[in-house]
Amino acid sequence: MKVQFKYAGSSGIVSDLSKSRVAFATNMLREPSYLEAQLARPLIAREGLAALHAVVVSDFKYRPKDRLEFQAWLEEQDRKFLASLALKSDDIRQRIEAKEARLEELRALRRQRRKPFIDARRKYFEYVYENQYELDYLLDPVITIHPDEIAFEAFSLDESSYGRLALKYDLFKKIDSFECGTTNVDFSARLAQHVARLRSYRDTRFDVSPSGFTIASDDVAHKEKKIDLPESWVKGFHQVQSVMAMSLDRLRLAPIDLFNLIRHVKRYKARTSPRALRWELTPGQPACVVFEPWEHKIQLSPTAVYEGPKPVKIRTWGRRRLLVLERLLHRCEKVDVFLAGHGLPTIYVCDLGDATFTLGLSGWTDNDWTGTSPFSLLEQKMDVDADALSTTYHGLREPRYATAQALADQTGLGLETTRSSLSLLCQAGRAMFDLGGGVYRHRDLFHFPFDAKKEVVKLKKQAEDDNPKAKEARKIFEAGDARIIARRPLMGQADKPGFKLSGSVRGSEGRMRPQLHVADDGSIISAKCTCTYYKKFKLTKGPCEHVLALRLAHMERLEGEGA
Amino acid sequence: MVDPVRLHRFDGLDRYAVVSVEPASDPSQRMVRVARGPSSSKLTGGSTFGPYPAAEVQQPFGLAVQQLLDEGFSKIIPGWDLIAQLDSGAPSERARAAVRIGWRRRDDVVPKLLALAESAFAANRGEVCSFVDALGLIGDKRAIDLARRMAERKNLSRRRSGVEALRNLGDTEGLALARQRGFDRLPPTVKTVMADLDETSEQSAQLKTLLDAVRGCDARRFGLIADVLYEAGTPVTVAAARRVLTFSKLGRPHIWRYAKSVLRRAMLRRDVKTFGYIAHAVELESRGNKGTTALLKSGLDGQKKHLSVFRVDTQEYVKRACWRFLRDLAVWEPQKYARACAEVLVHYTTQDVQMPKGFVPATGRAYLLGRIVRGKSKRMKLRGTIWRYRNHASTKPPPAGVREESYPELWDAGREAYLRVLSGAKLPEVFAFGFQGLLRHPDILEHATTKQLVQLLETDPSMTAGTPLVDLVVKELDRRFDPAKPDLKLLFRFAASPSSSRPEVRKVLVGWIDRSVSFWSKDEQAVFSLPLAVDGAVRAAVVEALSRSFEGDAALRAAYAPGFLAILQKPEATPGQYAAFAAIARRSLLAELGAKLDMDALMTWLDEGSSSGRSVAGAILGIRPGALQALGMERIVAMADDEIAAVRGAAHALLRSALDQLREDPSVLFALAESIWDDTRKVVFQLLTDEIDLIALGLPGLIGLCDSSDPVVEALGRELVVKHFDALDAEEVLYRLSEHPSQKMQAFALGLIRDHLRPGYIPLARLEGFFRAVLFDVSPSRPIKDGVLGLLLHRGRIEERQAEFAAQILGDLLRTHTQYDFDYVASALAQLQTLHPSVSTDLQLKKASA
Repeated sequence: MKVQFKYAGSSGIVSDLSKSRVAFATNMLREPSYLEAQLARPLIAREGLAALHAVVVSDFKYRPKDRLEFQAWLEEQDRKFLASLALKSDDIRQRIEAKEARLEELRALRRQRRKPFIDARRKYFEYVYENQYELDYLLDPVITIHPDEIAFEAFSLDESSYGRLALKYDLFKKIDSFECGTTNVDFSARLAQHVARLRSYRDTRFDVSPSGFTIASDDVAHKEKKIDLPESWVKGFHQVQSVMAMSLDRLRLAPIDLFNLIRHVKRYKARTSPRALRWELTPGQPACVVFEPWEHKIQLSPTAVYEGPKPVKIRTWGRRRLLVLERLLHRCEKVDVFLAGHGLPTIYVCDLGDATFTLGLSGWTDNDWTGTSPFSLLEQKMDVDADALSTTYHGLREPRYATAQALADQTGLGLETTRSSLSLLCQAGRAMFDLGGGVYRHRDLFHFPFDAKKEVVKLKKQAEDDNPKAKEARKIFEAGDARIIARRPLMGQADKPGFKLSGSVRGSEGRMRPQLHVADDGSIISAKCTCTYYKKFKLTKGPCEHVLALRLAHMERLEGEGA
Repeated sequence: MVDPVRLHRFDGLDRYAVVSVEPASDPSQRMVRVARGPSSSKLTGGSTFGPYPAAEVQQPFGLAVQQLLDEGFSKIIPGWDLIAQLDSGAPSERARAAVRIGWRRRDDVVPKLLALAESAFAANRGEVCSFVDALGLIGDKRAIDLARRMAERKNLSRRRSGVEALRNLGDTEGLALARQRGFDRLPPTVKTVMADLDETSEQSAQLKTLLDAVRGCDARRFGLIADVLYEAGTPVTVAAARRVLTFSKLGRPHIWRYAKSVLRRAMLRRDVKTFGYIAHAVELESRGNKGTTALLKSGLDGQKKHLSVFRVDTQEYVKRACWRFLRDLAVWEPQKYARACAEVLVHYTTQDVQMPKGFVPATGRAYLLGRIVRGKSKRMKLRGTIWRYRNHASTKPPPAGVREESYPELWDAGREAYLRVLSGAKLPEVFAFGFQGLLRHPDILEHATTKQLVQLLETDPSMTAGTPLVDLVVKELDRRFDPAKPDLKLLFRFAASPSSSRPEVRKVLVGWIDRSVSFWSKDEQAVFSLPLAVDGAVRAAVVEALSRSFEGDAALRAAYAPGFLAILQKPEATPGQYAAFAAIARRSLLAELGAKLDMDALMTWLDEGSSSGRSVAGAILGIRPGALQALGMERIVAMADDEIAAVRGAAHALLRSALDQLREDPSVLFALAESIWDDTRKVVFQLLTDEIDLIALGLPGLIGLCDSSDPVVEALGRELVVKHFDALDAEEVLYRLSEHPSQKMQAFALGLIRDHLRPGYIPLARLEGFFRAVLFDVSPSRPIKDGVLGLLLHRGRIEERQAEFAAQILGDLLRTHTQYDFDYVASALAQLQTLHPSVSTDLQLKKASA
């Protein structure tokens, strides 16, 4: 998908002796959203924006080293060694050594003579790389102005980290005007450099507007970016919502816990596998984190008590991605960590007082948010028609944010339909789930107008194309090959109500025995199966068709019971 | 002395006889000898008559000849055997004889050839093509009628022979008719293009139009199109035909028969360029292609049949036919031989090189190459169409002075062909052959045209490496160059040629430009084309020379300024395309260009111009009075951060002229001090240190300087703060500096805090952010961290409220996994809690047992 960005000015920060102005230039091709305000605590914004920039530019994917030069050197050494073996005369050997020494001298002289040129060339390439890289690859963050906060969202270059900085309006001394909406902002490396100049002793304007800093003599846009936005990026936004809307295990960390984790990551680099971060959770006890392969154990603060029913060990990978939170440590009041399960994503929500920074990390670095992990399958989506989708969209657009319950009350669609509609809207990029606030927020990811009918058709097709497991599950269920053996409601567990199920499902591999823990709304909390797919991937690549078929059987039973 | 008489008859046992006069044993006597036999090499019979006195030998000699004539012998005339073969019963023999007669241009045989051709035409026998080809080559106008009738035939070979004969006979009318018929066979799109084409010159635009039309056609028709275009015979159609063949696979059905036809036509026309290309292309195509079978219309009977196309036999036949053509050229048209061979050789590339195997060298499968370059070699022999060494000893290079090429005397006679070989060689072996020729005949450079010499310089540099060819050519060109009246076309060609990047060429070209500037600077075309030279050093020389000329000549400046402005205001196809024009304009034409543009136009140019144009606009603004006010400081700051050095240079000049404004508010300099550009940082630093009195600005000025993230500016800020600390509000300074994120500034701030922080809780609590930033730094500076820990402990000991504050911060750090920090924090908390029991933290103190 080609996404075009057009900016009338540049984003930047200009300071004089007594005041500063932070100006974000918004995409002129999007709806005209704006915010004009005066920051009360610029340092929080400074650290938050620095962390967001760290997310945007971070790329932790593994890239093998280029060892060509080393190999050439090694071969040269071998050649010299073999040549020296063949030499019988000391005289010849000495002459060769003298000549090689002279050759090395000449090379050194040559290097010295060419140094200014090589330095200039390097600088030039760095400059071109930085500038062209930004124009061609760096995706500008999405900014959404809500009635209660302004949020920046971005994906890292490797698409494995998601960052969201939400600045509450309490962070501002005065808000002159704002217009809610979603757009992109110019977010260059230069801006990130300027952010470091923000100080609390200067009055700081915070403007988000199409013009940003315009110095051209007319209104002609002078910066345009056309980025070939990978489909994966779009899917990524949806997958993030899927994970956030799942039933996650929450741990509340003190800033020092996060400090200890980041410090360890920074200080030690594992050269061999395993390199997981192992969360050891014992019911009623503060959790502890173990760094593999050294088995270094970090006991978390007493606030990080695990409230689950039984002990669990969860391993997640790609821990170096935590380094992007470094700048936030001293501003953090608390950090909520949400764990989805073994090899599944982890969400860190850093409370900065009047701001929140959410960092979503996929199960491991090479497993980007969209690659092969259809977490959306874990959610339960009822069949939603275009009218219901449209009602929900407009119902959310008016207040801009709401809980599912409040929206259901407002639209009269019923809680489950509203939840499913919201889930579909998230998938279509028309809404998002704010994990920190626990509310759904309106957010149009793209600027083309919303058409409920088209979206329903598109999403159905996408669901079939993207989720072959769901398709297979539907086939099994419709063939009557999914049977519930046991079903137990979990009334007593206030934190995770729902049902525990076990069943028998006949698929292509034969009969399997899936076990399932579903919430009241049908979303999967945990699952197991005897199939090869589950044994190989657990839930890291989404649930298997047997689990999904069992859930369909359960939902049918639930409907029959008039739930 | 009486010349011998040779006689011949077509029947009888003896068919060949020679009557000659031989000396007798007595020197005054002569013998008449009659030798006879079945062939000229088997004169096995005969007798000797005499002796006769030398003066009277003529009579018996005449009698002996007469006797043989009476027996049915007849006297032999040159080519008698070929003429005789025309009467052979085998059509192939007749055809071969006709072709050979054609090579010999025997106009005395024309009536016989015509009669045979008419008979073959009437009977529709294939040999008619050879007769008509021969008649065309002989050039007798009596053949026009037959050739026209042949050209009307549908059959490809008949038509080809007819048309090519008409061309050789100079029948324009017949050719025009044939051309029209040929065009009717073209696809409509090509035909339409041909109708509007100017065919008189091989213009690249014309050629491109035609080729674009051809590319739009069905690929199976490329062969037909190439043949028809080649048949038309105008420069553009011939060039187009060659190009069409380059993007067609020669060995494919529907293509091959036409490719072969074009090759045949090229031989008949002596078009060595096309011949050379196709002869090589056939060799190349034959590698790994054993031919195919396709359902095609037969040329023999017009029926559709499964026919073999480009099979191995055909490939070998065509390869040999190509060499036969060259060999015939060597014998009958020797002046054309070397040139034709050169045209073949230049097409050999590394694609023709294969892994050596046994005695077969890397180029052993290059048949024609071998025939031409090593045809006389005693080291190598030909097996089939593959060249191989005779034995191990022969794999060594030949001794110096031994020439292995075929017809070396013809190469010597047509020595200029070596120039073509050298300029076109793409294979080291071919280049080496050409270079050996050049060494043998160094005078060819003196007689070469300038165009040929320039072509030599454009030879692939990998070929000329290690040889003095470029030096020799450059020397020759330099010898011919007259600075007083330079060859401008040569200058233009060199400047636009990639060969100008060769050090030898660059050196001489730079010299020419410099020496002849007084001439070419008055030539408009030179002034507007030389700054576009390919090589950077050459462009620099043009800039230098032209700027020098402009500086001393106002009339010249006035004359060229509009042209420069027009070029610089054009968009650039590639960034920096007009950089040399911009450099000249910045050096010499700023006043003239500035006079033509008002402020608005300049600003628009600065915003929207090309990179070269913007650099000139910036430079004009840099010297224009009032530019500072018109641009405004924000725009000047943007210019100072621009990626174009000239624009930054202009901004630097403007900043220097805005000192009054900057002295009041130097904040823009603080921002620019972090510029990524060294020159901007240097200027800003110089302004900050030498021109701006930061002390007069008080605290905001100094802190603004310290806020920089540039280490040099930061250091300057710290230095000034220390120097003027007494004049500043100490507490305000330290609060402000404590917000700086860099560790160096944190260390500096910590020093100030230690020395100047007022006592009491409130001053301490204001620094909470600073303390946390230091303590929660995952890559801390140990002295800073220790300093903060020590300070908190120290202040906590003094007073309970400060102790609570310190304990709160230290308590948050208590669970650190850094052993050193933990020990320190635990100890500090213990001390504070002991001193102030009301202070509570997560650290639980136990009373020591008695």
